[in-house]
Amino acid sequence: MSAVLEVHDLEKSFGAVVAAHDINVVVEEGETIGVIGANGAGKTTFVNLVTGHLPPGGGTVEFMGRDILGLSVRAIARMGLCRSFQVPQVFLSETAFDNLMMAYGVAEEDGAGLLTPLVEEERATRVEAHLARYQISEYRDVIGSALPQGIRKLLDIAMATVRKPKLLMLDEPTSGISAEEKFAIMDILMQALREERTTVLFIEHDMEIVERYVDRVLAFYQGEIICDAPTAQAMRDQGVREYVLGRRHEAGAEARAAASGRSSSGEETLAVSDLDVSIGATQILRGVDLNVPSGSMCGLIGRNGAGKTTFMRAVMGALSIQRGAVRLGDVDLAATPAHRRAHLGIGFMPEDRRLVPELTAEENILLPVWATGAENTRARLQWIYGLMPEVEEFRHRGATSLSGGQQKFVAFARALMCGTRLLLLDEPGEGIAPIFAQRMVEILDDLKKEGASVLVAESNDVHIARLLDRTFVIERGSIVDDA
Amino acid sequence: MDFELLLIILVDGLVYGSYLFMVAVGLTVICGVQKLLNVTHGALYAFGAYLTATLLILYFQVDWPQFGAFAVMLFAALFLGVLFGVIIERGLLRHLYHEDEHIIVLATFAAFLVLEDVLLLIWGTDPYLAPEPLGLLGSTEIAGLPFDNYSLSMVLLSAVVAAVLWYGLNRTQFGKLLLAVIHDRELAQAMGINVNRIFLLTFMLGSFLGALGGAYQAPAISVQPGIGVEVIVLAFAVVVIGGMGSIPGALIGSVIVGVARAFAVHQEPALELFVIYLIMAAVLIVRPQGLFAPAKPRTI
Amino acid sequence: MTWRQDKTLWGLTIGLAALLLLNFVVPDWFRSILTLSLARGSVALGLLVLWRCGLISFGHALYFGVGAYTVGLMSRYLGITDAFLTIACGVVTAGLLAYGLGFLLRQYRGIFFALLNMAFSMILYGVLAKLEELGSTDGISLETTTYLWYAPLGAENKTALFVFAVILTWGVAVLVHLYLRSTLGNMTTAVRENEIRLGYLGYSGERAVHAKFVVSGLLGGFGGAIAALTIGHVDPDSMVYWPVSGDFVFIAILSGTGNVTAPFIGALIYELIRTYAFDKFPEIWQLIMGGTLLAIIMFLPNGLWSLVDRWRGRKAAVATLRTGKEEA
Repeated sequence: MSAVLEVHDLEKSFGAVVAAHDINVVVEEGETIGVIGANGAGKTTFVNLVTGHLPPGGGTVEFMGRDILGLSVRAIARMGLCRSFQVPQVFLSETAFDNLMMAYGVAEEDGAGLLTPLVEEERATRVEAHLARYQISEYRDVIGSALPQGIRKLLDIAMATVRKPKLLMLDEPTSGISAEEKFAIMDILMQALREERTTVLFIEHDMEIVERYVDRVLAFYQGEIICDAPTAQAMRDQGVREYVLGRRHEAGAEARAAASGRSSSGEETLAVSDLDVSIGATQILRGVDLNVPSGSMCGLIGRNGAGKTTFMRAVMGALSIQRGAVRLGDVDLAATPAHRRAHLGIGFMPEDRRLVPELTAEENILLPVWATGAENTRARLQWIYGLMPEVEEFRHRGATSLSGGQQKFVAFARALMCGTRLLLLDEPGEGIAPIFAQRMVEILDDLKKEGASVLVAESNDVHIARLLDRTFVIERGSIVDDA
Repeated sequence: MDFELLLIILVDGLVYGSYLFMVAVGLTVICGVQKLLNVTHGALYAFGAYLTATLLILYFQVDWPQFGAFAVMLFAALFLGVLFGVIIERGLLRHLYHEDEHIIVLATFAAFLVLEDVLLLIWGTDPYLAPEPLGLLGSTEIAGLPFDNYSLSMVLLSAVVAAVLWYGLNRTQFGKLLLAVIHDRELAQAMGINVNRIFLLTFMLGSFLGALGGAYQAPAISVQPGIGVEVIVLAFAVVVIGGMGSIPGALIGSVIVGVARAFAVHQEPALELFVIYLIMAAVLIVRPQGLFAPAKPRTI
Repeated sequence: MTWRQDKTLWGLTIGLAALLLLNFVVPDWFRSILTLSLARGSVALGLLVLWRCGLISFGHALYFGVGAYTVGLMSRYLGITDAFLTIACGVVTAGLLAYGLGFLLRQYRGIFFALLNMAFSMILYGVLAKLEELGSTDGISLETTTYLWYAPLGAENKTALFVFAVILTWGVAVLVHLYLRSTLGNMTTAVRENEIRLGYLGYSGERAVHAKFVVSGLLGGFGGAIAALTIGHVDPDSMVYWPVSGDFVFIAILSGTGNVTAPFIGALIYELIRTYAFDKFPEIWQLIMGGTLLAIIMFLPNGLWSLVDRWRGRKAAVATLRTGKEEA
């Protein structure tokens, strides 16, 4: 065995955020390595740095004994270090066949050869064989945007393997694929890669996948590798259990078995049934059932990409609904123009804050009032400032001068301003300092005491579990647990 | 070059710049809110000039107070702004917002061609002259050259329009809602803003400003076919230089282009048009977003 | 696919033969419409090459103008009237300009690409319209065209020019068709939809755009040179002003991006509508043009060629169902 990739002391930061620190990895030929870690732990950044997509802040990267630091994505790909993508990057308006044909053309031609015909019989045979290896031949003439998500993932990976890479990096090969399909897809994939004798490194959140397919695990936490060990050993590692797997993993399978469409008593503020939503060609939500009873605080818990934000955007009318019903009390929201939701008393706090930069904090908070012409705003504003005295302190500062945490509070206050019947809070504790996150929990606690109807989306419910009357766990676009 | 010539160039440039600003500002307002380049704006300018010239000719045949001429211009612009706002936004653009940006520009180009001929059908090919208002304000001598005060008043009008728009956008509730729409359509909708209505109102406002530019310019020029074609491409240049959607950008862009052109006219007439587009190309190369790119919030 | 199976090559060649035969039956005015359609169609073909990868230029009158003015200036200052030489110079000059500007333009996408092109074309317009040496707004009239040692006069010259233009355009269209079949020419969707993926496959989107831009510049120069010879005169307002660029985009939209023959058909239809409208309804010809463009955008967003595709698509779908793998 010899080393395919050697990374030493790799560093990268974005502003004050350290995305990679002191990364040392040696990948041996023939290995299958799993990269795990929570959202934002630096997994994709690692792939981006090694493949030349991002310039590193320091360190060395050697591929097949050659220094590749600072080379372009193109040059590195040509040397045989290829990757696939978390969101499949196929050419959506071309057929599967043409997608692969392009990949072959670029891989096989150079210089004047680029001016020779792309489609030739021999090459077509190779493309057909490639499609067959990934078991997607029957989708040969289907355009990218019409491919099922799992097939699109396979095509994306198939395109990355056209150069017969020495090392292939896969970014979440099963994300966006339904739970029923994931093993089937992985079996196809791993078999094809074994046939090509490709060394594989893949990022994965799904521990069932990791345990089943991976020899060795790299666990990332806050930009550092906290564990590098054979899979079984890594799963027992204290740090991995604490920082990567978390509480959810232990609850895992049992909870899922207990999942049921239990009907709830009392009046529903928000009633969603059998909701399907797609963004572009990709189906994100699959038959979501979710009810928020009046005066209750509910949690929508799931990791990044599970469909939390999509769910909220669909309720807010920013995405159109393919199937299912969304009702607020007795109003059919699907038939209501998007902007009427604020008038009906729904307040929405987006995860990424989205303040209007030219306005002050208070002006941002008052926007929904101006838009809806609501009354009694003075009293409501005072009530909000009562809940969040810190916001009152910086209410006259411009939105651009506020820190991320402060902006988050303003976005929260803005949602409260018109959210008299229902509040949708998308990851209120995400991306802010622990002290702010803690404060956010206190505010939610106060809000609960006031009897507001709230739906909070979070990637884990560690901090807010005690506040929740009901928890919906969302995975791969479906509610898998409801308790 | 002596000081007097410099002064003349400056005054000339400001007058020409304010003419450009009057047209460009409406274009940039629409561009900022609706994120589209509206070629029909040139037709609005031409319609403003034609309607005003016609009305002024009629107006000066009756014995009403002469300063009423300014009310006539305002009326013409308002009328056209509302009329075309409804026709073009409701009738055409609303069906195209989901399309590629290039396609929207082309659709407005097509509508522009149609409007050019509507203009000819209504007013024919003969030039219209309505210079009476020019004499109303007298003239001023600057550096030994007479400038009529009407042209100078255009600088004032531009300043007033810029100030009113700035105030409206930054100090009124409507303006702040508009900022929310400009910044983030989806969020604005979630906050309860009726984005469709805002689009219509913005388009009317932009069209009104375009027509007002033509209306105020009407007495100073010979109103004839082709004025819309000429002005729209100049206004594009100004908007691109200033940054699409930026009102201060349109102001600075107009002044830069106006003065540069005046400089060329006085020093090297052959460069007159060349210089405007040279500036446009240079700005695009150095700052593709234009001089005043829209503000962005802190991300971390 | 061999030469014999290539329907487009057959189509082009049949078109070539048909046009050469038409030469004997059509009146003069129609022949000049046909030649101008070939010229404008060539420029629109250049726009097609760009548009397939999602870029539109609002300033291709620049290359059209450079091609035309190269021919005009050679006639005026050097007394060179040979069609082969002047066209070659027009094409090369426009191509070199596109190559130079391409280093800058290849970094831009979307509306900025379109507008930067417009700015460059208006710079040329400003220069041409003002400089006496370049004919200012009156333009330059050309001497009678010659063909190597052949120097026909009057009606014979018109015939010669037509035959010459038809054959040359055929050659150009075939070359572009071959280019579009090549690996580089096929990097269209890849550039339009996903340059990052293209990078990871191993080619740079910017380089692909640059190549396409040069191709479109060459075609612009070719169209301009042919137009100059046909009209016998070059001037800035009808060849370089921004509405001229608008006309090219119009033809491209009207034609659709489906096939290299589409821009020529589109250009002919455009010329016919325009000539007819101008002749019969001189007051509202622009209205008719604008209305046509609006109708195309609204009801036939993929251009005339989409009709051909639709017709063929039905047949292709049947074939695929029957044999599984018929169409590539």
